[in-house]
Amino acid sequence: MVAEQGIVIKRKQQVFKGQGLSQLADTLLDALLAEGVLKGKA
Amino acid sequence: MTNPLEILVFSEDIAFRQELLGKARQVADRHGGYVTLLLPGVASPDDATAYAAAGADRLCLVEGAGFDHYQTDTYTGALAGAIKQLMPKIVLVGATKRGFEIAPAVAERLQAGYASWVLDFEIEPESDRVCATCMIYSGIGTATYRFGQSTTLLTAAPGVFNAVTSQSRDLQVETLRLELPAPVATVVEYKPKAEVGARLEDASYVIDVGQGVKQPDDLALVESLAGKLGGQLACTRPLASDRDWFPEWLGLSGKKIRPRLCLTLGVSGAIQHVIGIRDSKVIATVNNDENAGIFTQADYGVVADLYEFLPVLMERMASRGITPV
Repeated sequence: MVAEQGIVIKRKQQVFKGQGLSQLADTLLDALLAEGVLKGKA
Repeated sequence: MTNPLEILVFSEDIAFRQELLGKARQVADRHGGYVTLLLPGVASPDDATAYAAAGADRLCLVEGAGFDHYQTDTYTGALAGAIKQLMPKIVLVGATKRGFEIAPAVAERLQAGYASWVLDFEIEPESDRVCATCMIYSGIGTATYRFGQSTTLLTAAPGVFNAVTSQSRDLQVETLRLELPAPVATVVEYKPKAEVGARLEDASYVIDVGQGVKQPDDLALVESLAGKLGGQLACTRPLASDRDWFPEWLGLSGKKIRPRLCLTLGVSGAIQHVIGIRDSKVIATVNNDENAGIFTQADYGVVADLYEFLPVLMERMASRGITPV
């Protein structure tokens, strides 16, 4: 996709499915922690 | 010797002016030009120092009686009159609902160049002509236009450009004397718009809901998650324009955001909507249809029923002590 000033943003498109809801939630939270958009207990 | 480049900036949205000034400043600095901010209806600017820091060299005030309540004729007359006096090469207008009324009307009146949905613009060195890259076909492509030597009006949406803090400069303040037309319509009534809180464009966390959320009462669940993230709720266009659950929406014709995290819930992923969220640092999505287009536009997707998933997600956040950054 093309954003302003020609920057191409490539999305990771990682899809999580087929697990229990708790595991799905933890998988998503781990990904968001790794991205640095959430933080865990110090 | 050619005149120095002048870029005239106009938006009735005060917060938006900073972004437009930032881009204008960058282009002006590359060409030894200067930036003028037009302030219709302002007799004495309170924010002069802030405008100078945002990149303005000059403030042009336009006094008059017709600015107390918005009238397209009055603002169109003010912008057209200012362009005639100042002869700027570029006029950068905020692509708000009012900006979209005013800019093309002025361009037609002055027989000036005009382009909307601008993503970037520059002065072509060899020809000294304005080149603008614009979003087309609901954002799935771009087109680059090269204009003639007359004034060119460009409209850019909120969030496209970044505000900058520029070096301190001596700010000129002038008042333009313009003959403004009397409005052809009389405003009969004004009704306040529903409060929407802080600007979505400034939010670090946005929970973006689509038609997968079935009832207005279901928003309480989403609001609970937004509260844990210190985030704001936003929506796709149908939830605002058809269901009337929200006063504004994200997308091509709505707000454009760039939060740290955008979590979409029950959003299908129509390109018109994705345009509003695509500059988010991270996009995560929850949808029970694994074929939904949003999964190709997101960084992380969870195939699940959002009504079942959200309570578990919040419980896991709480038990693991996970919080916003």
